[in-house]
Amino acid sequence: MNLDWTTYSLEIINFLILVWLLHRFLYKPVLDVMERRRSAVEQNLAEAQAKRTQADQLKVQYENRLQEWNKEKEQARNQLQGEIETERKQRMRALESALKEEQNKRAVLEQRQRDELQQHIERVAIGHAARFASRLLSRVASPELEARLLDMLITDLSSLPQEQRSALAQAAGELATPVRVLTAHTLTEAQQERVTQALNELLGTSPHYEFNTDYQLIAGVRIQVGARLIQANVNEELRLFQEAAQHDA
Amino acid sequence: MDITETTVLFHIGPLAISQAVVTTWGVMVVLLAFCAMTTRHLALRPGPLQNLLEAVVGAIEQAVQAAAPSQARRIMPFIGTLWLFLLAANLIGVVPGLTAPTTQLSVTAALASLVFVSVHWFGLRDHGWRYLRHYVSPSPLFLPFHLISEITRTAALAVRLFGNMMSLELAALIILFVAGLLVPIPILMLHIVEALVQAYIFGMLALIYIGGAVQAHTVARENEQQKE
Repeated sequence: MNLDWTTYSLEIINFLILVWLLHRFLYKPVLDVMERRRSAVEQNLAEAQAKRTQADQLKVQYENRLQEWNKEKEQARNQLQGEIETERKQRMRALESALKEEQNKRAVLEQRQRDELQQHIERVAIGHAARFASRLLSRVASPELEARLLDMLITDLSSLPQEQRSALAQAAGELATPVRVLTAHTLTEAQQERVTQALNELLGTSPHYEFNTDYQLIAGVRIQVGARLIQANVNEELRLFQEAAQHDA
Repeated sequence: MDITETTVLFHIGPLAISQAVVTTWGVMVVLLAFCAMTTRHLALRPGPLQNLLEAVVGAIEQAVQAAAPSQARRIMPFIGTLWLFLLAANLIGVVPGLTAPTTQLSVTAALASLVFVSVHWFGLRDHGWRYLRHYVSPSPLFLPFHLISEITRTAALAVRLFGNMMSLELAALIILFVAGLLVPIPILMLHIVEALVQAYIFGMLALIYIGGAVQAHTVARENEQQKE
């Protein structure tokens, strides 16, 4: 066991060189890469923390915004409900008004229909009454009744107003056809003579007369002077009565 | 055959180059080549080999950080090189035909001398000349004991490594002569374990000595502050 100073010195130099070489080629690069990784990890952690903070802020911001949206939504909903309620009331009022108007129209229409129905019923009743009266009078009609009607006619002819007398006289003057005298029953010669005499006196002339019978007159007489008629018969009276009754109805 | 004798292989001028020096050069080349190749393409996403390197360097850094937190980055290359070199130098004796350089007292003495110098170098660098005050602490009467302690612990450092590695080689040779080829594998395992343990002990003691020197002034100042 001896100490070789050359080996001792060279070993010291070798070791110092090895320290430098390993520092240059091992420790420094490895520590640098570890430091870079540590820095990268810290940077990533810092970024993650920053992103988390930002995310928290965004979360708070979004929550606030969501609350504001909910408030706005609630306000909008309340406003909309108010508008809907107002609109509903307006439409209800309009609907009630239209309904009332329709009810009034309906009432008027019903009233009109009732009136028309009543008029129709009255007309039908009048028709029935006229037919009934016509049938009844047809059964009770007789030459005596006709004679009385003839008497009434002759009496009425003598009391006609002057205007009608003039109009009949003018019509008789323009006659191209005979004066037609229709009766329900055949007149006797005396009755025909009375009629002829009354008409000659009324017309102021002596036209040709044509006497015929028409059972539809029921009783009475119809005289046609040109375009003018002189009537005193039951059928005509019933017709006038029916027209007057329907007019009043 | 005296394994403790220095075997000179060749001369470079007046320098007699021994087998230990040549083996040391070989260890240096292997370490340098391995480090240069593995650290050429370091990436933030490491592969298996880079993971191994980072684990080794990280473990060394943590050990140094624990012993001398204030000077860890400055001390780490020296302590790390001690561990790696001693590990490689001790294990190279396993290779047939090669002898571990640490079986030479000149090599272990050189490493112990470097530890001795490093202790005071880092102490003075960290605290200046106030570092020397710990030699007269707690009393100047302790100065001789401190000096003797410095010398003896350095000598112990050198002799411990040399003695263990040399005796291991010697025991292996004796057992080989006595038992022939029956027990090479257990001896080989013992060699590997002993190489790891001795490298760890030498490096750890060096770290403790340097850490003590770096932290001594800090501890002394904290004690004075506590007294005040």
